[in-house]
Amino acid sequence: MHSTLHRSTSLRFLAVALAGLSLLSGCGTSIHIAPPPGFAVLDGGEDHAYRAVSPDGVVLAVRREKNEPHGDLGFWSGAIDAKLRRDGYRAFEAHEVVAKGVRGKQIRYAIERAGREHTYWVTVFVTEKHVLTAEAGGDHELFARESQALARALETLDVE
Amino acid sequence: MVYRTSFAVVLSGLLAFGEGCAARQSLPEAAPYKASYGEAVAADSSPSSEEGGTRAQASMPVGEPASKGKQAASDKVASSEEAPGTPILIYAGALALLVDPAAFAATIDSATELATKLGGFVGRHDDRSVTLRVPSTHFREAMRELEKLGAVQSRNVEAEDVTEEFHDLDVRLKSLHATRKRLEELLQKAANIHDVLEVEEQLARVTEEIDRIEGRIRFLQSHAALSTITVTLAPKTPTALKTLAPLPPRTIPLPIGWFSSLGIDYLLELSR
Repeated sequence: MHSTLHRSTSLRFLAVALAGLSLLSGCGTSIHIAPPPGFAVLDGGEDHAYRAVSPDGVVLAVRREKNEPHGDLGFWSGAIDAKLRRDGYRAFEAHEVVAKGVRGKQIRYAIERAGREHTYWVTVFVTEKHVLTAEAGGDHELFARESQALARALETLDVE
Repeated sequence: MVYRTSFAVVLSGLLAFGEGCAARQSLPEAAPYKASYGEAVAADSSPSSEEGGTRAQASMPVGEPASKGKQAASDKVASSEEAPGTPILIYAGALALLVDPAAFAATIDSATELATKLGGFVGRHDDRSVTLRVPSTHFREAMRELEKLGAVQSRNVEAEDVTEEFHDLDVRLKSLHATRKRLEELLQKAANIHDVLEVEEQLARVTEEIDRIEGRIRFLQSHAALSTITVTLAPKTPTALKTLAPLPPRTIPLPIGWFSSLGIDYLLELSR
């Protein structure tokens, strides 16, 4: 009887500890964002905490990573931009965005895939502990139809 | 016998007149004058030009103040008593615009609204093009407003000068009316069935020719009063950003693991 009670208490402690660790690391925390109209929300998959997709394959995804090495918005947006341009992405627009009062930077790229022009937006928000990146992309012609709805959805992202 | 001879002489004289009309009819029509948009606009900018019978003058109807309205244009082409030298032009414009594909429908709607506002209408339209008919007095204004709906890929304006054809048709019509009147008078005087049949045959031929010419005049009048503008849309593709600074000669990839899963390929791989 005593042994059963002890095991139950231990399991409860382990669950609470794991949840606490998970919160501290930032992994597994849910992302709050209003999906664009007509999009369906998927599970985050291997790389993201949130994914939503339109019927014809325009995707919006958000990931939350640790702010390590510790950097500000300029560092992270610059590092991501340099990586993408090294990979052949053509930046055609960059501007500041604000999501629920938190300032971020959005860079819009074009790249060809399977003989078609594709659009890829990456929006970066940085807090003391985390780096949030919201990616949106798809075939240019399909993406253009959703671009305004995607921009509005990004403004609803709960960065904190 | 004397009566028959004189009847035959009169009828052959009328027929000879009719042949003269036919000969005029076979004259080549005025070659269409194709003006570039630049020429048309340049001509429009000097509507008070003193040059007579030049291309600049030929473009004058486009540059007329809108306040004169479409009635003025209709009157101008409808009247057969207009001042000599006033050109009668049929305008046709074509615009190819680059537009965001998401805005195709809205652009077609805007073009339609513009045509209606200027007193015109839509001839036909589909998902990517629209053909508008607008009063010729508003042709230039319509082209300018339509050019604002997207990035202009190409533009083309053609002005066909039908003045000579119109006046030629008008003269032939008057001659044919006179011939018909005389044939009708001759018919009253015909003394035997042979003469009646002969005159009636000529009357039918002249009447048919009058109908044909009147139809052609109506066609020219309607096309000169209303210009045709065809707008074609094509998708606008993003261009490389000019304002962002180019990359320095060498950048070093940062050792940040999650960067490897950034990009469109990972994003669109939904099974991952």
